[in-house]
Amino acid sequence: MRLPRNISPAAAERRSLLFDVVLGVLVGIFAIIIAAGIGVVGFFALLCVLAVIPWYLLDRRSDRRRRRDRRVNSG
Amino acid sequence: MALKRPPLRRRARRVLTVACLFCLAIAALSWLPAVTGSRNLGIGVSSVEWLRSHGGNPIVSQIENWYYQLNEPEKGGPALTSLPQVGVATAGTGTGGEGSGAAAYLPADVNPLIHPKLPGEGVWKKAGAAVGERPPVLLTTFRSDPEYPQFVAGVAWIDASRTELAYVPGLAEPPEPLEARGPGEVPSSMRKRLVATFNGGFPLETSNAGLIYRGKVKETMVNGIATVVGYRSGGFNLVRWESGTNVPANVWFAKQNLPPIIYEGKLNPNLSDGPEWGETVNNATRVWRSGLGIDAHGNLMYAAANYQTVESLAKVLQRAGAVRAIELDINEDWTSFISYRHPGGLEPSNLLPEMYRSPERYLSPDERDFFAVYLRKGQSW
Repeated sequence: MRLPRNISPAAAERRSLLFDVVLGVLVGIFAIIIAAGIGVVGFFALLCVLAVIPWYLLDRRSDRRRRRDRRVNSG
Repeated sequence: MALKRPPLRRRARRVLTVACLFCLAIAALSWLPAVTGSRNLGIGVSSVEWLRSHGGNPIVSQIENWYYQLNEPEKGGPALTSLPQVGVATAGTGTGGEGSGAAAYLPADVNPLIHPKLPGEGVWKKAGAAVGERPPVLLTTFRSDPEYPQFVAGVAWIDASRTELAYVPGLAEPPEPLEARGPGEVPSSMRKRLVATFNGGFPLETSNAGLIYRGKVKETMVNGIATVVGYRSGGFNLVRWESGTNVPANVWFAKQNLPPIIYEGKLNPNLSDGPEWGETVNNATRVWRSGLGIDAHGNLMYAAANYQTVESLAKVLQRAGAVRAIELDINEDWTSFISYRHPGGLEPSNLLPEMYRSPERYLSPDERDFFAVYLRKGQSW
């Protein structure tokens, strides 16, 4: 069975989100299996989350700035 | 319409975020019960303990090493003018001479390392009030290192002829399974005879050593490792274990921890770092350390101080008169020696005022295993 190719942008976004979530959970399970213990996994996961949060915030700020610049240029 | 995907970089980040959140959620299921139990530890310390016991010991040890290296004390500094007061009254009759007889033996005062001597330095004091001429526990303090004249070591002496030693499992150490774990504190029925309590050794996971509890092997014993042995008769000893994996019939408990730091009166020539010293902070790192020795008359000696290396701790015990010694637990969170001034566990008092844990520590359930010193049956306070 093939997935339909002609879908709306919102449906495409939902599909890629689902794919990424499933892949993320699989990566997590793999990490738990190969790590020395759940403590190590939790420790590094916490570090990663703490590193990713500023990355999200920076991206959000630059997106907002880009949108504002576009509005100013088009206005 | 063609399928339009977000940029690869953002998708990778999303996968990573989901993986991390998933792992954090699973880890939280294990972490939460560990930090919310009825234990007498703060959330920070119990989190570190949880990490240590769930595969993170190398991470914890590495971070501890970095921390202690950054906070290493400087040599010298102002000289002390007084020492912390320990005990209730001078023991007074200590001769340390062989002629005083085994039953009435009291140790000689400790000869201080630094001169001029401070008032009370190295002088044994009774730990209990109204204990008479044969105190079961004596306490003293002295400056432990001429290069660091502000460091003070606390030493306790325990009369083997009047006391017996018990090994008490904590709530989490030794880990499950353990038969007859007990309440993790000094049992109420034993408090009438309680004279002192002190911390145990490293957790089994990091000590690479064995444990016999109530005559049964909990963790395989290792030859050559320093071992605190309690016999079924109530007696105790500190030995280098050579009985293999068997349990000798007369042994009630045996707690191992690393190689001996003093053996037959001599310092272990290999007190520098090596894998035989367990997965913990380096031997040369200055940190709170504790140790247990035994003198030539079979009496126990406990020593603890901040900013000690394994070698300096061994020298403290040797100076106090220990002929064999074992390193016990380290770090301010685990180092405790508590004496009780009155029967019933009343008026508990830490050996050194800088000891961070409450003197009530072992009168409520504790995370880690420890030793309790009781008066022998029939002995009066």
